[in-house]
Amino acid sequence: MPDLLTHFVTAYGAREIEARRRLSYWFLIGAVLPDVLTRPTTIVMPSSFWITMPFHTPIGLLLICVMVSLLVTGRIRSGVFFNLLIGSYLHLALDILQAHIAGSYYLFFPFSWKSFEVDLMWPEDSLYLMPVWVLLGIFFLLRRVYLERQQGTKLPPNHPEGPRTSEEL
Amino acid sequence: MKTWILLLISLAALAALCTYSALVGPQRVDTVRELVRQGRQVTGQQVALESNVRVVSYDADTLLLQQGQARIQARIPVVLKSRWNEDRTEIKPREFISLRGTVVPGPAIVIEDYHLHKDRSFKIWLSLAALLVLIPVVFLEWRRERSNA
Repeated sequence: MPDLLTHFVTAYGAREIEARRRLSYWFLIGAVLPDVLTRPTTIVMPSSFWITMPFHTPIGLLLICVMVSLLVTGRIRSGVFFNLLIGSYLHLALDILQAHIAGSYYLFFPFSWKSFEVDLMWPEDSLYLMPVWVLLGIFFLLRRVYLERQQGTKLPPNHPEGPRTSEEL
Repeated sequence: MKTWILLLISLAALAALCTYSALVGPQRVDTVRELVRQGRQVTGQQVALESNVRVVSYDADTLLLQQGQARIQARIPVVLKSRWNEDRTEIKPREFISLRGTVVPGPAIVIEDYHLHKDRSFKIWLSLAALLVLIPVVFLEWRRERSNA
């Protein structure tokens, strides 16, 4: 996995760039969800790898997103579901760019045990790019502050450039 | 009521997936890459390579490793073994080999996964730090969107 900071900054950047502002904070949560669900147990208890492995697959994440969205009120349910799902799939997309000498990702589970990766970078390479991620994060943060100052909050809530409403989440 | 039924169905499906994975996953070894997950027992000479070794390429016959400018070619059978296999068996190398383009004799080589496992430890701490950033950011976003609603 790229580290969580890489996942988070990528998701934050994608959210800032997305012009129609349909990505809510649930998208950010989704972007770290697969690792948050699996890595703590795998690190503490490596033998649990195969038990938690489905949480890091598209089908497992789909089920988890369904479950989480069912726990929120009906009005924002679909928004929560899609934001979580897109965020977690972005996470998987970043993960498969890596190369491992040991195992990769079972994207087709449970239909196939074939593991798959693109082999573009080693897992630790994201660490070497850390200054880039930090600078990018700061850039997106400053960009947001600048845009908000420019636009203010006077625009109507349903304006494309205006603040998000709960219906949009 | 419908919501709870859907929730229970999803939970049952997820539990089924986890059970299936836990039961079948460890037996699914069909490639060299998958051997690592299994941490299969090796026979013969076991050589662990120092960290900072990269696998340049491998196929059915050879494993090409690199450390800095030095390259090493290993003959098969090669068994890769992960530090993070199921029983968390740490490899205790009996000897370290010199990476000066030597051809390492078989019959088996164990190399340690996570060639930069020191970085892995750093990565874990970094991820924890990222969570500390993420939680307040998500909270602020939630508050902001709530106030805009």
